[in-house]
Amino acid sequence: MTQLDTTTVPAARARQLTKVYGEGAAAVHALAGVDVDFAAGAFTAIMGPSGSGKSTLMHLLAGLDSATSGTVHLGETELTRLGDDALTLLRRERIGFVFQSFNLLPMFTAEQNITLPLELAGAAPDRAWFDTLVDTLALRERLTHRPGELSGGQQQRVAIARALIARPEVVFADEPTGNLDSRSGAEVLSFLRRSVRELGRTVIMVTHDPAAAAYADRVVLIADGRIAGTIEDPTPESVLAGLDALRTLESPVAPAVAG
Amino acid sequence: MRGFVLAQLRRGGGRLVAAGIAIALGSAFVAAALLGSQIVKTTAYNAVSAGYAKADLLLETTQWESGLTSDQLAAAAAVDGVEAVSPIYQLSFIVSKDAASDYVWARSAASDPRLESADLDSGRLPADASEITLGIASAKRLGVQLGDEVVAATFADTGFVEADDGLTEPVAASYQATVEVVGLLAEPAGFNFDAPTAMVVHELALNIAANGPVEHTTDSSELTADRALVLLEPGADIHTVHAELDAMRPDQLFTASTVEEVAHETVRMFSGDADILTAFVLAFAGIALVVAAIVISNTFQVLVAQRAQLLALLRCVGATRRQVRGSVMLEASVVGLVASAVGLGIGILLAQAALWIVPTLDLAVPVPSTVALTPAVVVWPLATGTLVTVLAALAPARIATRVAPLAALRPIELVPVRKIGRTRLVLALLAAVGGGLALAAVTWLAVATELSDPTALVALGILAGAVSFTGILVGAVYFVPGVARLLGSVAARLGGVPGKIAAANSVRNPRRTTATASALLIGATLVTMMATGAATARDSLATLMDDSYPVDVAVRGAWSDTTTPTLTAAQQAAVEQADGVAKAVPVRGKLADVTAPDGGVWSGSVITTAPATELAAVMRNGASNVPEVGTTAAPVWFDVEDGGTLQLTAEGTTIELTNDPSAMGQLWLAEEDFDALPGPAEVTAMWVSLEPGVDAREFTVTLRDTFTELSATLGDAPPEVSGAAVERAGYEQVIDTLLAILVGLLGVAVIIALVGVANTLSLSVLERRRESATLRAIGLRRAQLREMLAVEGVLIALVGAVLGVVLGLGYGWLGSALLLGGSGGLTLAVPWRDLGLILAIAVAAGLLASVLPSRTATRTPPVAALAVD
Repeated sequence: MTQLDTTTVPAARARQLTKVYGEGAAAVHALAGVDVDFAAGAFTAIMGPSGSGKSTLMHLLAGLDSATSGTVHLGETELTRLGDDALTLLRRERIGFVFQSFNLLPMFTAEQNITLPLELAGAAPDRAWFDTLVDTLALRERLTHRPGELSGGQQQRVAIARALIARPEVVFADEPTGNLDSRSGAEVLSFLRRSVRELGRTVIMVTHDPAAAAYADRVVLIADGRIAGTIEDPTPESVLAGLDALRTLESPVAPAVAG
Repeated sequence: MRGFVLAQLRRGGGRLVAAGIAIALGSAFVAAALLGSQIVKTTAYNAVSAGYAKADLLLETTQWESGLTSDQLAAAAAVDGVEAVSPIYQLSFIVSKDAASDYVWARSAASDPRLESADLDSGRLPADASEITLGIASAKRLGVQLGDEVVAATFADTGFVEADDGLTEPVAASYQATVEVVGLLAEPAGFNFDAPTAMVVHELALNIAANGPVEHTTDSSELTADRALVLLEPGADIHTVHAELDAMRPDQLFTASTVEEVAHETVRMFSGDADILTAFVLAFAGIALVVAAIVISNTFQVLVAQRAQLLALLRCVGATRRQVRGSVMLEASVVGLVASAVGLGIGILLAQAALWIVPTLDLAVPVPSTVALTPAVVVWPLATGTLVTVLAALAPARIATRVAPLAALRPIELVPVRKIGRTRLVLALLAAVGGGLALAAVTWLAVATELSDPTALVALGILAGAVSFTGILVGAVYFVPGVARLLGSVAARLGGVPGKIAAANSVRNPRRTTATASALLIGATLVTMMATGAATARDSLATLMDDSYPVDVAVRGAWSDTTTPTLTAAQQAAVEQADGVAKAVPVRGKLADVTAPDGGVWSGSVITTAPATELAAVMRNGASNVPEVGTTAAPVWFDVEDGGTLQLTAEGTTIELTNDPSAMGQLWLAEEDFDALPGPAEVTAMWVSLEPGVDAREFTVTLRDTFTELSATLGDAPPEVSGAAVERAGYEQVIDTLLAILVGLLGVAVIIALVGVANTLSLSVLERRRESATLRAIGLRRAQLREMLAVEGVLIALVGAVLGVVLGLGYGWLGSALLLGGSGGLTLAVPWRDLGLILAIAVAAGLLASVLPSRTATRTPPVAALAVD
């Protein structure tokens, strides 16, 4: 039964998810009723123009922010019902994060940064898993270095190892290549894809870069706080085409959709 | 640049609040000290001038024997513009009612009611020689009320009348008058000068004076006045009259001065002490300001670091180094001025609050009703506060000029931490080690030479100590982070992940941690030093007193010319039965004539003894120096050398004893020798040891009360109660009071330092906004984030406190050795309780300091981790 569930229940799902910032006339509908599923064991990219609501969607899916209405499930847990401490524990045990600015703790070494989530959970580090991550990410030589002594790409690889160390159900990556040169960016993306294909992880990535989105198994397009379409097995070209279609649709159609 | 500074202040003014509080506390301290001193002076002035009622001028005799003569007084009264002249006659006599009697310091009522300064509680002033107005305290002691009759008498009379009822005939020269109490004078206040405790009319004063010894008179037949008050006619010019009175005295028989002059002069004499006190308090305000300077300097350094990118941007777009420095200095001036003004306000409010409270305490001190704001009181706190702020900002301003324009293009985290210069290390070492060695040398010299007046050495020692402490503070950056790391490793082991992160955070910025801890270190060192000094003084005095007072409590029979001092049976029983007595040993005494080797005879000397076995139980030194048979210690004034022979004779029997100066007491004999001399022995004293935990002071008070009751019922003269326990309790009270005052004065510096801890934490929290959010995102609970900051706060505070305690112990011991070493019997003590208290306060303060910063930190949403700046 449980075997079956893990394959059929999506890793994350949103239903009628709305998020409103501000009140009255100044109210902004960042998300206006989103229904979306993210399959387990897949690498999904969320794409959309600036202000489309893609970041807000990720914040809500990851339990970092509270929804105005609607529900978010991580596996079978409804995040929208949880309090701050429960959400914190959930993030600690079931979610990993990769940030655009890496966000490593500057006073800790690479190794300390990687194992921090385990320490927070009070769990003993799984040495084999740690070694797998370190070797796959080619960080062996850098473990004793502090973030200040690492390049951007190295820092982001440390951040990915930190996100994966606790074997979370979902890893959320927010523009993980935004602060990297294209070569380091490509390295990071291929590692994220490997972690899905070879290590069986689930990754949801927010990006505005079609080339980055092309590494994913599926792209979810979002515009004006709504799901505007999906692209299976994307290539940079198909993603660009999808985005272009979105752009042409945007002004004339959006009000009609809204109505 | 001014626009930039103002914009910075508007945007980030909150970051300067703590620095502002620090400087405000410092300048409030200065303002309160200055106002306090001024209030004391004003109060003294009021008290002095109140004694002169509405008088304009004051005549004072230069001839103490004769006083102001009636001719002089009449001449003064005849001067144009003088309305009334009232001589002040003062005398003391005895007022009695039944068995009770009391000395009074009396004054005759003024000849003109406008010159009368008496403060009546009830009733009125005497109208004739059959009336008296008594001080309320005297009336209470005598148990009399308005309308009662009392006897006013000269000294010679009273002892006679009271002591011996058998003699009914009054002595011819004596004088006594029965007078009615018609009024009560308000209690003379502590500040009142020469306030009388009784008032009589001039005629009665003359009668009393004519029949007894009166102060300031040699000719007992005349009562003289040293001073006279002069009232001017309305509209008369005081300078003209003053000049005319001056012109009247070519023979310099008296001086004339205005009441203002006299009052000012009196206050000047009196406030010499007040000025020293003000300087003393201001020294502590100075310490508080130094601590505030550290907090301010730290704040600006942090601000400059946080604004590095902004400053670099300014440099990029064309701001000169000068302008960048100017912007920091201008910001500091504004903060300094605003905070000092707030501090001044707080100081004024505190002083005014004191003025509101004091009158309600019923101390009858004529305090002014409002504080007087002289320019000095306003300017000094403002000037010192602003100046300290600006000086403290000098170093950060220089750092700001070092921000390269290029830094604008670099991520802020990669701006390298500035290396700490070598010059600093050399200077710090020189000062710390040099000063320390000098202090040790001076201390050694003081202990070794046992100078009776080590004032010069003490001054040298203070200087050396100050130099070494400055060196330690300057060099703190070299060892404070190490200590923080050490304490941090303990916290990391005990505190889980929050502890580990806190430990790492506390040493991230060594300069910042050092500055924050140093601010607290100053206060902790000084408080520990005082506590150690106090403890050492307490223990050393205890050692000294064990030698001079061998027993807890000694009760000695009342002294008498003719007989052995004796404790009556009732008194002995009272001692034995008193609560808290462990053992009471009676000391026997009898009279003997002592012949010294040089032939001098000391007749009627009291010799004493007690069983040696019993003594061992009550004496602190185990009665080790009880004289052996055949020896005794001669008093120093007998001038007998060691081993000289003394002959003791009583009722025809003579024994010979050898002088042994090391033996206890004077003419203390072994029991065998004492019993060998005939004659009645009396119990002259009792030596008492107290049960452990008995309050010696309370015990003594109770025992004295018992003796007073016995003397009232049985007529036994009350014996003298003394002893080490009592003396020690007295000394300890003095030491504890001094310690409390010093610690209270240092409290402001400690509070400022604690504000500094909170300040550093807040600034760090602002800086680490994204880090906090990341930690929250990856699973740090709110409570753990709070815990993390609490641990960091405690760590920083503890580093300062632990180092302060260690340094303070060192300085305290050296200082006490320097001050007390010369007197011998130095016992270095560790005030464990106080040290524990200091550390406990540091922990509590660290926790408290983290409260506000954690509020800010926990308010950061985890989403902030995703923000890109």
